[in-house]
Amino acid sequence: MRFWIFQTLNGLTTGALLFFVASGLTVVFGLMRILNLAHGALFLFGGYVGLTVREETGSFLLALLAGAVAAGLLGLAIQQAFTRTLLRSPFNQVLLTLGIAFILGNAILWIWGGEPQRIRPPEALQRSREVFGVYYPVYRLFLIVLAGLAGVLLWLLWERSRLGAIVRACVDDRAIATAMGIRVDRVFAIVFTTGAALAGATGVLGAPVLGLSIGLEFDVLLLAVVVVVVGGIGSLTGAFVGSMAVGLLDAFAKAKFPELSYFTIFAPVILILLLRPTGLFGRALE
Amino acid sequence: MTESALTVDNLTVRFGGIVALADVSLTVRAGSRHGILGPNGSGKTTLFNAITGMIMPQSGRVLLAGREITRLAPHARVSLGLARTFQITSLFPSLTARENVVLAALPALRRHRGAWRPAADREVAERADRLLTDLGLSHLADRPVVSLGYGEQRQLEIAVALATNPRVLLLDEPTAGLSAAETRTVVSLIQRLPADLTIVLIEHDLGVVFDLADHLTVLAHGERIADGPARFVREDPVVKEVYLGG
Amino acid sequence: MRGRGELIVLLGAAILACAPLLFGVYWTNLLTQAIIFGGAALGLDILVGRTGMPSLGHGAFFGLAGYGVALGVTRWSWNPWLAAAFGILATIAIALAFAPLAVRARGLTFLTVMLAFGQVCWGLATRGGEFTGGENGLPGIRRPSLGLDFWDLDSPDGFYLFTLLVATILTLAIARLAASPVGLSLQGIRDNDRRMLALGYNVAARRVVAFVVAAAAGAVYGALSAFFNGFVGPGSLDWRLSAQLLLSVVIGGAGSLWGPFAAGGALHIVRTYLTGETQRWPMVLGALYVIAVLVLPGGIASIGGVLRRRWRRPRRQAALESAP
Repeated sequence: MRFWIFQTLNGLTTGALLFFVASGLTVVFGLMRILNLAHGALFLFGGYVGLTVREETGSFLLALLAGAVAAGLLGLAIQQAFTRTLLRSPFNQVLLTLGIAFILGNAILWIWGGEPQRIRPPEALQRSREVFGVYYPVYRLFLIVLAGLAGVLLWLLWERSRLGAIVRACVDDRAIATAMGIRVDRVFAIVFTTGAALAGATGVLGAPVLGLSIGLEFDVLLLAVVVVVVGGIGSLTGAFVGSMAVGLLDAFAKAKFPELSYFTIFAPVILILLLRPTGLFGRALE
Repeated sequence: MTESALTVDNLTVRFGGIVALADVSLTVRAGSRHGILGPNGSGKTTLFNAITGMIMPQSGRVLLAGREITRLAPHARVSLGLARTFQITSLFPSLTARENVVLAALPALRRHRGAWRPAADREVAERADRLLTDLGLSHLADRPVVSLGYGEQRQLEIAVALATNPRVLLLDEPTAGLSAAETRTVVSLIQRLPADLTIVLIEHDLGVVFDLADHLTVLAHGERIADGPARFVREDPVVKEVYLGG
Repeated sequence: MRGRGELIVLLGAAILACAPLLFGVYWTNLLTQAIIFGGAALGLDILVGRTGMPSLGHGAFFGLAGYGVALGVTRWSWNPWLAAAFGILATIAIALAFAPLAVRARGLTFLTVMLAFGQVCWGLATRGGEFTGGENGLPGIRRPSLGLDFWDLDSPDGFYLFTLLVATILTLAIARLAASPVGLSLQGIRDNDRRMLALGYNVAARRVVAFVVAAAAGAVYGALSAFFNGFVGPGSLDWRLSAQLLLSVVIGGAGSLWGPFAAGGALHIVRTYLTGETQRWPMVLGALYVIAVLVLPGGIASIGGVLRRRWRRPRRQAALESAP
């Protein structure tokens, strides 16, 4: 029983981090049909900026903010510079965003060096406490709760706010949204920047758990892409469910069948996509 | 009674609760130029889709030269000699005009399977070039479709349909969206088509219809409201009301 | 027209065959690998460029065949020729089994399905313990022998010429397929698959053909790579290899066949050079990708057209037109 609870919590922690990354990716994807393969690099960049701020100022909150702002600004720059090229063809997207990911990953190596790093969690959250009969780090519990809160908040923003309604309209049909007078390019800039900032913040939030190292950006990216496609492109609900499912699957597989850990994540993905090519919560794209 | 190339027998198509075609019947004589008239939403394109197998009717039959084809797959109808063009151009944009024609011709020649001999061997290439020349499109043969003008694409669309070697050709608004000059080009192209080819034509432009069609069927709200030789239908008071009044 | 294409392939092969006379061992080995990656990219172009199905897991077939060869030679002590046949045929069998499922997906879903497929293979190889050598891979793959005194596959020149021979035959075969009814129909499917269905083509079966041909080419070059290195490791199943192959196709100009071959080979050479020269090679490579998209959106293969247009048009007008 303790094993199950422990691994469930581990899975939810991974799922929480994955959700923060995947939510930005899926909305950008759904909105403009742009697959941003540099999303993982933005995540890592935010994490490293956070590392420096945490070490210089000692404040985790400042680090979180700095990571989000840095990644957000970089995302905005990428969006402003390349949107038109990205829209031209899916091939351009793969080439251009992977190119940016390589550049950014190497720049990180240049600036921060290749040693794996870790950000200390906030002092108040450094203990462990008992939940359901197991001792578990408070910081990880905090991440799980945060993911739940963020999920609700994003859902409210998505379903209830004016911005959410505008973005949803654009996802549904860009042409009609344009005809209704919505400035789709501006909506896209906002969404892309927000997604990048969220990824950067997640880099900081995840650093106490996952650490920071070169190559992590692609591990995270691959899982996030899987979550997005399995959940259904453009679907926040799908991103949430997909993240938690992948997180849990990963945790249990690593503990139970370490020799099959990749198989257990990716084989179900193949199955789901073949049964439902539009993903669990997605609708057909044009 | 002359031989019927295409017969539609009490055809009914419903989408959900909406009746798109109600009990429509018509007979197209072999070699005829048969026009289908009707306002927007009267069921003309639905009729074409049911004849070509792109949608399945709820009841009724479609016969091609006396053979029932109501439930056949679209490509099976193509190989029996039924071809169509689309209201929205449906070509292969990155291929050249000749390649478009070749792709359409290969299944009709039963040559679409090989992986080891050239697609456009001498016989196929000559056939494609002859077809393009006959339609006055030979100067476009080596140009990719994306680089063609809209009017040229509409003409190529007819060439692609003809390449399947049809006995019955369905044309869905061949002159829609064309300038007056381009329309004249397409009309004269259709007039030059072989006399033994049966043509069914949907058209909005009444001038075009009266230039081309010898027989007319008029649809409104999914029902057939008139049918007969063109010169009689023209004078039909009901048709005049639907067309000129509504 | 077709005769000319074949002539160009043979001419290119003849020029490349002179390379050992001009270069030393280092360059001969580098060119061997360049041909291997270029050839794999050319094979992938059938699927990505001609049929319009972007795969981010094609390296799996490259790696699987390599592992098949390695297992045959090192674990079961087979003759290397038998091991090569086993590695290639087993990979083709896997592709044949998986293709009917995979081609149900399109576009980015297909890309992700293939990514997942590649990750499954990579995971199995790294976690395969003793059997696959885990993270360490399988060293000690002997090269086969032609039984000819004058052609020794253990020498760099001998193996280079053998690789070139295989690549020439495969390229001629693929070019022939591309010009055939099936090859033309693949382009038709990419452009307008519904119309192809209506014309009487079995679209799903043809997508399977494209998938398996690309996989088979990947398998042949994967086997060559295993013999060349004498070693197979999880690196040959890394998704980054799949990415490099896909990028080669895109940079080369999807659908043009020769473009991806040139890009695949050139990318390998550039990459090897940069890796030796600077720690910043991923940055330079990344910059190359970005520049390629901005300067040559149609890939290397479009360079002729781009230059011609620049040449014909006065400069000012060119500047006006390229800024819509």
